[in-house]
Amino acid sequence: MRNPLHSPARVALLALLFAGCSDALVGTDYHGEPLLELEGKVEQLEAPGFTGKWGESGNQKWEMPGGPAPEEGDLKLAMFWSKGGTDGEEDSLFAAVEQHAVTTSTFPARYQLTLYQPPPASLLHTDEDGSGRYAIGLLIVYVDLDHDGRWNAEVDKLVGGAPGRALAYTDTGAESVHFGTLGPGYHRLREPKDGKDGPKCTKDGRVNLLPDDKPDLDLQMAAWFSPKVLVDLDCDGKAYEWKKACPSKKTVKWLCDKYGKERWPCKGCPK
Amino acid sequence: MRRLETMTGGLLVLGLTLLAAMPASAATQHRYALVVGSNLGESDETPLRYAERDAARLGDVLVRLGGVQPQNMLLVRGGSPAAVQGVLVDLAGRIARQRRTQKNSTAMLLIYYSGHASAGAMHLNGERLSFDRLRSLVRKAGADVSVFIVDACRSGGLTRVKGAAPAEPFEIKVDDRLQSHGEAIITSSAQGEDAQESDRLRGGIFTHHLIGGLLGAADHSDDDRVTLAEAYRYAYGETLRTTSRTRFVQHPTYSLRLKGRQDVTLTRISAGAGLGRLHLRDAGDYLIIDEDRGDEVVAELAANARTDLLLARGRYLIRRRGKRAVAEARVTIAEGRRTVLAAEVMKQVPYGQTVRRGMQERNIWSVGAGATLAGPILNGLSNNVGGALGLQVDLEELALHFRVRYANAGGQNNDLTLTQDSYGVDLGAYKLFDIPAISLGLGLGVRIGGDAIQQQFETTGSAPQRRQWVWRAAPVARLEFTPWSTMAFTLDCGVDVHLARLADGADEAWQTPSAPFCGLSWSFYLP
Repeated sequence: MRNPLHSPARVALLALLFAGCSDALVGTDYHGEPLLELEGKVEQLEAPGFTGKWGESGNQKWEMPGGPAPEEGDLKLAMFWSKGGTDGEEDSLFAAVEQHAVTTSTFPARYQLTLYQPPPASLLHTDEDGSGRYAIGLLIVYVDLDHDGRWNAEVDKLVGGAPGRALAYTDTGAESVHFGTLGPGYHRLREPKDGKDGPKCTKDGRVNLLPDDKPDLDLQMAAWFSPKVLVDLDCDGKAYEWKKACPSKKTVKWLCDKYGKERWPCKGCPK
Repeated sequence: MRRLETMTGGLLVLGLTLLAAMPASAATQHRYALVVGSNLGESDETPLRYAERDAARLGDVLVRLGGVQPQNMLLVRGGSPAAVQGVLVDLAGRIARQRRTQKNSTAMLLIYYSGHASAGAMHLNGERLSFDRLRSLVRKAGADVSVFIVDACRSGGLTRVKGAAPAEPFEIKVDDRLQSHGEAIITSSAQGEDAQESDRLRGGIFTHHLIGGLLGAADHSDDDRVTLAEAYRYAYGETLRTTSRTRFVQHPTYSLRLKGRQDVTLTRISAGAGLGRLHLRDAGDYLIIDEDRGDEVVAELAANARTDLLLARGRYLIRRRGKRAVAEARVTIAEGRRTVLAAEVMKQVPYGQTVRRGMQERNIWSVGAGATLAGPILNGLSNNVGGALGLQVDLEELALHFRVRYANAGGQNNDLTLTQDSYGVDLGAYKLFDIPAISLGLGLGVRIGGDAIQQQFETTGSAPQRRQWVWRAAPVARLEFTPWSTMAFTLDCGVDVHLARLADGADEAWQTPSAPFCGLSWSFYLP
């Protein structure tokens, strides 16, 4: 009697099963297993210099202080991590994750951002009165003016972010006056809403961050980078600990000349 | 492998009317030959391809070297029993006239038959002619000596040899015993055995060797004469040797009823009349191929160190086969000239070609190693670079190549660095066409195999290792360069079609991506 185990169909079936039990192969479009997936709207703020349209479409274009008009596709999304500094310290933003996010030329647009890596270990820090290592980051929109696809602090311009909303990452879990206790991994956090769900600041003068349960993380942007779209970590009323939020003298002059003091404070960052 | 076709159901009787003695007093001797070939036997018998051709070739040798006057060599191709009997009656008349006109002369009659037969009769175009009737007619012809040579299946019945173990032919002292009166019978196979034709030799195996012997290969005594004993001994040995490599071994048989001590010489090895002499200086197994006549195999012989062959003038390819290697040389035979061929001037044929070109009947094995380069089947990955170890067997029709291989590829993005290792096996079958003049072989083939692929990632995030078995199949073009007989460089190129489960973003699906490849290997033939 013929042994069915030796039939060609059987062999082929076993081969397929063997292949089927294995993992799908990936190319370089695989970035790893997602650690955090974010999505939301990208909206424009009603503000001078922003017309709501990219490029040279008609008479409308994005105006930038003293620089060339950005081209379509130059608007990018990046995860910036705080180096834990305070006002006046060294540049406190570190672009660790960059990703094309806005591909449409009209707004509001939607974006999706997936984080596959934790922040660099060098950015994880521990509060003196806390435990565990953590980092706080912001999702920020910038214009890639040099078209190199990467954040370049000397050339590229920050134009937007998520007002009052932040991300925290801890590798082993952390405890801080900012947010209380967090388990390992990524967490979405937000500032209290005008004190309705708690004090905005802790007793020792730090921002109080609460879990953010809202599905979307919406972004707002303007021609210049507004501290309003950042989180005031030291709870001093200004988000200048994010040094890049400070417009340069050149930018301030350009804005004042173009829009006047009534529409622009004509002030730089405090020294 | 040599293809041999069995003459099924047929008796290939070689009726050799003995061209008996060629004594010194040639003026008193006359030789007559009836050479019969019939490709068609009875209706249920498979037609033969070379029986009539064999008869013509043997008749030509008898005229050229055997002392038979052209007018006394009567060839019947595809004739009926009546035609054969008619020719015999005609020969009998000639012999009778000879008797009357030349009182002291002797006559020898050689009858050769190639075709289908049963134990007792020749099968000629659907009719039968019994051997008893044939022998009776031959006796009535009145020749002093008659020789039957029958190349047919089960022809051993004529000689009463039973089974497959005939007496050793080397003990027969035919030349010492043969007299001017008597009968000799030589058959191509023992009773119950099949006689075989060979497509490669384009003739019956026994007849092929008999003719080679008559041309000089059987001249064991080096006296430039091939006697009946020498011819039989040579044909016996070579037929046995050739057929021992086939399914059916053939044992030629003999029977002698001769009296006296007169030598019986079948052919004289003397150049002239369009013939030249080829002297094979070194012993070995030789194949003589006539390039002027459609690459016909003239002789396949085991030569001793001083073998002379008579060949028609023209160009020949001489092939000498050693235990492992095969060497070739081209010679031109000029009329009346002696051409000496030494083994050292012959060019060795690459081992792989020897079997593909039908020079070797054993399979040729080789091992090799090489480098491989294959395109990626996944986005962004580099080419797969690696190496392979191979084992190949060259068969006459195909070369089969088994490989194990390793290849590495990689890629990276902002989040991770990917390393891919492939451990593969495959089996290829190739049909190669050799161009001996430039030591090249060109071929096409198919290769089927698979790879155990492992992907590893270097990342600060999370990316578990991935493993998968991927099937692949490819048409392959092959270029084989053999600068030395024991070594080959092989370039294989083709396009692999894979069966793999691939991830495209969050989606996973079975896909059949293709990728070109090339591989260069260096192989050695095994002893």
